[in-house]
Amino acid sequence: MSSEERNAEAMAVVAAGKAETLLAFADALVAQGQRGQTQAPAEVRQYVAFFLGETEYAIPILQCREIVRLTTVTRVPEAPAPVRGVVSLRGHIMPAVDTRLCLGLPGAPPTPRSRLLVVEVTGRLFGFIVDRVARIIKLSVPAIESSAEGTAPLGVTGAVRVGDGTVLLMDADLLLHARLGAVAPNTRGEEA
Amino acid sequence: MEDIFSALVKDFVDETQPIALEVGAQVLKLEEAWGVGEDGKALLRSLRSGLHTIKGNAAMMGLSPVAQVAHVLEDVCARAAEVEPEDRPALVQALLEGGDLLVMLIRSAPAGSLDAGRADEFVARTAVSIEAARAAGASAGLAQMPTETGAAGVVTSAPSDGERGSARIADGDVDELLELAGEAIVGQTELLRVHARLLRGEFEAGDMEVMDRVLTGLGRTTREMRDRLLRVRLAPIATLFGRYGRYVRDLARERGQPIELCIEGGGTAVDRAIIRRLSEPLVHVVRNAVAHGIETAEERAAAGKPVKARILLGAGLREGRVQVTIADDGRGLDMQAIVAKAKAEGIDTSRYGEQDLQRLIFHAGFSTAKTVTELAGRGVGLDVVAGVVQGLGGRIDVRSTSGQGTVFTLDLPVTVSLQKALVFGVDSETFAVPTGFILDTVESREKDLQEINRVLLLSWRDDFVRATDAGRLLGCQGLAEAWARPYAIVLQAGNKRGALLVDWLSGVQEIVVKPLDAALLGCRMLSGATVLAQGKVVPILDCVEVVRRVNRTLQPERSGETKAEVVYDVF
Amino acid sequence: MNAIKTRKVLVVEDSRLIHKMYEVMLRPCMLIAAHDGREGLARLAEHPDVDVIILDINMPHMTGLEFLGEVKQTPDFAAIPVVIVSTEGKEEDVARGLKAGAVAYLKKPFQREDLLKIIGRLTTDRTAPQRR
Repeated sequence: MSSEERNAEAMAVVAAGKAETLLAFADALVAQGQRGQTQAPAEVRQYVAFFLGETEYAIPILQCREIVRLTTVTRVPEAPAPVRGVVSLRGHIMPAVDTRLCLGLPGAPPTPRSRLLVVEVTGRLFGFIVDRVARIIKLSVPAIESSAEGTAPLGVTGAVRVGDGTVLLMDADLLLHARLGAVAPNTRGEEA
Repeated sequence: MEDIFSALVKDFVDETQPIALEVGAQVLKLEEAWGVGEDGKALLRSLRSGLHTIKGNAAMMGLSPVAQVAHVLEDVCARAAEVEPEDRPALVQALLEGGDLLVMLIRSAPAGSLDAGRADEFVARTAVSIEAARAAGASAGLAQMPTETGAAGVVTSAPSDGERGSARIADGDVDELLELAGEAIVGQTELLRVHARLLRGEFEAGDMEVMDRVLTGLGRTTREMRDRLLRVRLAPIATLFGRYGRYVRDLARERGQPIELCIEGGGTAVDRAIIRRLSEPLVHVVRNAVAHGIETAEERAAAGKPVKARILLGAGLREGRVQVTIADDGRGLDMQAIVAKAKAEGIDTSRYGEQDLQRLIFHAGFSTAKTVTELAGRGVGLDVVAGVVQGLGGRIDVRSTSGQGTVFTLDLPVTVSLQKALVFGVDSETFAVPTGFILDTVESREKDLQEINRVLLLSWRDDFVRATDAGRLLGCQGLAEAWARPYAIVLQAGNKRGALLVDWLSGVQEIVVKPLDAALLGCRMLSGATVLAQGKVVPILDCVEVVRRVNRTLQPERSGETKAEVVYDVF
Repeated sequence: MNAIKTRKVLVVEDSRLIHKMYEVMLRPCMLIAAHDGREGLARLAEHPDVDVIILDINMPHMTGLEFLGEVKQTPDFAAIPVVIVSTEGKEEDVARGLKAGAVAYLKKPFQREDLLKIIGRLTTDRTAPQRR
């Protein structure tokens, strides 16, 4: 396990009792890595990178609220296909979405390294189940913009070369609206 | 059947046509009866009986369009008894149209030229509006609130948990509630207008917008009404703190050590339900403080602290939420023990600040009590406390300074919606059923079940009720069959009953109902979910839909089955 | 099929059309017709040697269940096998009827063969020596 993964995992333990924003965490990491660098970085966006199988994906850090260990997912009868069930995060219940199924990939059973990416979209919380969380990556704006192209599964907005690999950029908002419809605000009732 | 058909079709028309023609006349009489304030039940019974005969005859003749139309009209009559007066015109409309359609279809039977398409269309259209009315009826329940206001504006709150009593509600609040109710009724009227148009098959461009707007408004209005009424349930938190005062005094006496209890903000108003729910778990926080937090008199003297230890219970409102504080000036959390435990769990403690490490005490297994004494409590750890607090939609935090003391902070909503539910299990899954729909829970043995025409019936209280295997209904991945389930939960929703066959039953609990995200609106058998004390998420069943389905579920087809069944042991 | 032509069947059913149907289906048998429970009891008194009763469980006025109750409480008629005929959605009534002493049930719409099969199994040929 790389140090980044261990950090992400540590987050899971501490998550109870407070919501540590990933932003602060990421900043700390970046500060650690950049100690000694004097150059001011170009406009950069941060992404949380995760793996589905051997492919690395990333979502904007601003969409991601937390990363937690995958606890019990409670099945819910007649849920739409990509939703495996619901999970409780500090008492708050949210849908647990199988990211693979959302992207049209075949499903896979969870492993001890599977994680739940807690994503916030128009005030609603969703948990995306991923195989493992990899790292926080910084991408320059030009790199992001030049990546959007051609045919890609719904929700994937581009592909970027990072190091010697490719990372597929994902937009949780787009993906959820495409896969789960239900664009209406939460009309079932208020938040408890 | 061919020769029978042609031989009898004239008789069919002779017998069934007059009944169909009567439908129109009876419906008009029903309308009249309703108009003068009668309930029309006798007329409805007669109507249903006639429709039933038409259905049976048509089925025997193989004329299914006629049978289906008669069937859906029977359903309409079934709803007629429970429907609101405002909905009756639409109902009358449907019955009249259906009656005319029946006459037309029966007339065309001899020529064999039944307009099946028209029959299908009517059936589908009517079935949809029955569904809509049913759904509206279910959610309109919120609008029916008993408001018996006396001279001083005192409203009797719904008895909860055997705690019968009355609550005070300010006249101003009553006025606002009435206003909200008025808004809800206006919205509903608008919807009815659109609905009546849809029944006639007329759909205008603006209708979707109207429905959207009204539904959103209704949602907001009913939520506001509920919020205001929940506020009626407020009580000063001093009732909670007061109990702890006595407790602390007893503990202090047991230890032979003076402990002072200070209470601040006892007047802060909190939902009675929250007070009830927190009462037990919070005792353990207080108990922890007295048992472990506070040093012996000698230790305190040596540390230069006043011999009399202090425990503070405080409450206050902040940004619309309630903050509760439980603080002591004792020795603080044992950081060494916490760090040791964390390391044992494989956590890299070097990455965490002191405060994060302290928060670890809310995880199961982190109780650092080294000795289990009388005072230390039995089995309720801080993880359970955290679970209960979070289940209520709140948060709990801790801050401790070594040698100086520990502060627990709770952040709670002012009101919360609690419901009583029965928790049950089937295959390896757990569900909850609101007790309001439960008629009975019984043991179910093989001899109590029988299958007739693929309908499973449970013998219950000298009668029979339709039953379904809960595992099959809820899509659980089990292999057990209905006959193997040891328990049955008999439900009633509206005028329908149904029984669920399950594996185990738990006691009735008070649960916080949490809504499911809109993405799960298609889960029609659920009305929400809850988190039990142990952190387990349990879906809550929507009994109206479940009972409906139980009444429609057929047992799987068995091969070689004929329509006739001989059940006897004569001779 | 020859065997059943000597059966005597009481049909208690409120629809004349369905009576006609039974006539066609059970052609060689001797059919006694009643259009409600009260008439059924009257006909039974006149023909206590009926081999089997076919009863529509969903009749208005004196309901099928009430008629069945009366029959089973009358010693002279209690031994006559009763077949319940019902429509879909009334399975509880069938269960109640079985509990009250009926021995078989048929769901509308049913086929002639099913009806004949049941009657055949429940009754004996009149010309054969009585076994009751």
